[in-house]
Amino acid sequence: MSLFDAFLYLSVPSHFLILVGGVLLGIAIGVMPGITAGMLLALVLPFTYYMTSTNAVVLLVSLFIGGVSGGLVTATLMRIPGEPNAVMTCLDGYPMAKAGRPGRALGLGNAGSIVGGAISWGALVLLAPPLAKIAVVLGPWENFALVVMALVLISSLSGGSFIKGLMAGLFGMLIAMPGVDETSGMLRLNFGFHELDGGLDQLPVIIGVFALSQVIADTMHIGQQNMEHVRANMRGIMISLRDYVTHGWNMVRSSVIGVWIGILPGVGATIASIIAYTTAKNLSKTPEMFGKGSEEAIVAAESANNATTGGTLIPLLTLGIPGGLADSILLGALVIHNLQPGPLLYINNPGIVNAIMAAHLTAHVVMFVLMSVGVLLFARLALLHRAWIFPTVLVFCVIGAYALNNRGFDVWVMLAFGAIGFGLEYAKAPLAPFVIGLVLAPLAEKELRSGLMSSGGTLMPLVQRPIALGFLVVAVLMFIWPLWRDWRRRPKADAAVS
Amino acid sequence: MKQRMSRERRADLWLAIAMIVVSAAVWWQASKLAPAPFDPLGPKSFPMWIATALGLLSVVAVIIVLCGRALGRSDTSLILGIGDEAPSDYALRPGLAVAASALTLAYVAALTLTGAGFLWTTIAYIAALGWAMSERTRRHTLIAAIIAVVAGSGITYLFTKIFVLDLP
Repeated sequence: MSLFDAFLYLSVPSHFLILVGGVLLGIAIGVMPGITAGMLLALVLPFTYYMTSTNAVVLLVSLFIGGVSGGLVTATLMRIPGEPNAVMTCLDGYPMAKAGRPGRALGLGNAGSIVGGAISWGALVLLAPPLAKIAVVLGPWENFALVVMALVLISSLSGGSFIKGLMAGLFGMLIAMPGVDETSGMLRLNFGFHELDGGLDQLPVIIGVFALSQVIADTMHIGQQNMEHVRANMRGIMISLRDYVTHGWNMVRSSVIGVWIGILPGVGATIASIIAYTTAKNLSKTPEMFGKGSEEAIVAAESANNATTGGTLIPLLTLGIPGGLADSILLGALVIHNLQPGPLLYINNPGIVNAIMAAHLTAHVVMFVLMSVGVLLFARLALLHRAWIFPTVLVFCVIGAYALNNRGFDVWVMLAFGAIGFGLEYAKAPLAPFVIGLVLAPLAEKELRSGLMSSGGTLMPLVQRPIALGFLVVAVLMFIWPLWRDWRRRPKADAAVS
Repeated sequence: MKQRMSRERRADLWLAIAMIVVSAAVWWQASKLAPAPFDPLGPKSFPMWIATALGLLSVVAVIIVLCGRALGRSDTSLILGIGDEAPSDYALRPGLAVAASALTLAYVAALTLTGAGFLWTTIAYIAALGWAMSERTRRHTLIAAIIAVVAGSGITYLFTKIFVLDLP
């Protein structure tokens, strides 16, 4: 299936309905504070097992796009980011809405979202195929070095604490170790529990870490929804062509920032919107308006966070390395459907790659239309009491963990990882490296062992092969850089304290 | 006078200790595995390397915390609201979160360890949790009950009749 065929596939009513349903559900979930797109993806994943692989990826991509976009409504009308990435939109969307222009604020955000999405789709279509052609020639040593680089990169870029990022990544890798060792067929690390003979399934772990722990955290904040909010209206929701021209450069610049931040593993839409917002403020002729209802600010934040959606798909499709949580779940979906993520996907299943690309753009267009005409309905959803939603979401967590293997043990695993996710987040350890470690550990081990078997047990090819060496050098630099940065900052911090 | 450790450093310390325990357990279990023929690495080396790296890193983390520094905090949170400072405009309800966790634990135990059926257990769970999270007025109690019956029966119908799935 070519890219054109993939668009034709999506034009079939039943397939289009899956896409529209996904976007609609994604926006609805994105609108509700606390229920995140990642959580929705984790919950829906087990049920995609009963769909064709093409429909499954179409559904997941459209849920992702809808979820990323829906946060705009709550951020603008309630000053609560419905999704973490909408945090910068709150700063200016809410003041503009409060000043009597909620429709205008939502319209600008929506316009930024569609432009960001379209530009990131262009980047995905242009950059992914040549990168995949390069990636397909990589051998086991290069692939192993690539995973090492991705883990170090994600730990050092995921902000705040490098050491905690690495700890979370290594912990995620250990969680992937129990079960039957694929190469030797030997059983390992079951700690005497036969239930662990098959290992820990990724799905209950991901549902526990991202869905269960989020609901428990939101329960603590349930009083937040009684806060003041602005009533939505449709006036100004469709912005003019002139507005697109006025904000055009800002949209393009913020989208490019979003695409590049999206490509970096684990950094994600929140950081992209912060960087785009800061850049727009630094370059603005009216920086004093930022934080008080600036149009430029809303456009920058929303363009950037939607632009990450295409960027994060690039490393997933070309290297098999997920750029963030949603991609980790998409990667899980590919594995469930017996598809090998990475460059070989282009050779063995080009239809799936093209379906992902076509769904990415179509979902953005559908999102734009739905957000433009349905904003009043979505605004009402944001006010729905969490007490009527959370219990049902928790039941879905239980069914989702159980459904794949019909094992009660998986439900307990989900509960345990709900507690672990809560604990990691409480200690402010980043969860992105944990997921990437969990997903990539089997690949890293398989590639290393395959390389060692072909080299007769020596690790020398890691430094003799230029691409593998290049990846390792980047990993070492990314390892040293945060330590050096912290060491440089320390005397200043100490001086400030004294 | 002896200074108390900040909440952030205490959390860092517990995180590092937990990681040391996990890495030690994995290392010990992996070390008991026999090497595999024709495979230079075998099934035990990779987990042992990872456990060693995690253990060493965690020991470094403990030393940093005991020397009076925090490990820093992630600013790319994927889950909102855990460990945040108490907000000024509404009250946090940690007790409710504990109650929700306990109810969920009881629900899973009832489903997986007893013969309680999915439909009635789910209706009871949704009703109890919905009521606990609501404002607990008579109106909200009624809404919680209606939602429990509709959602419980709807989910059961959806998964058993349409998706044809086994439910716990």
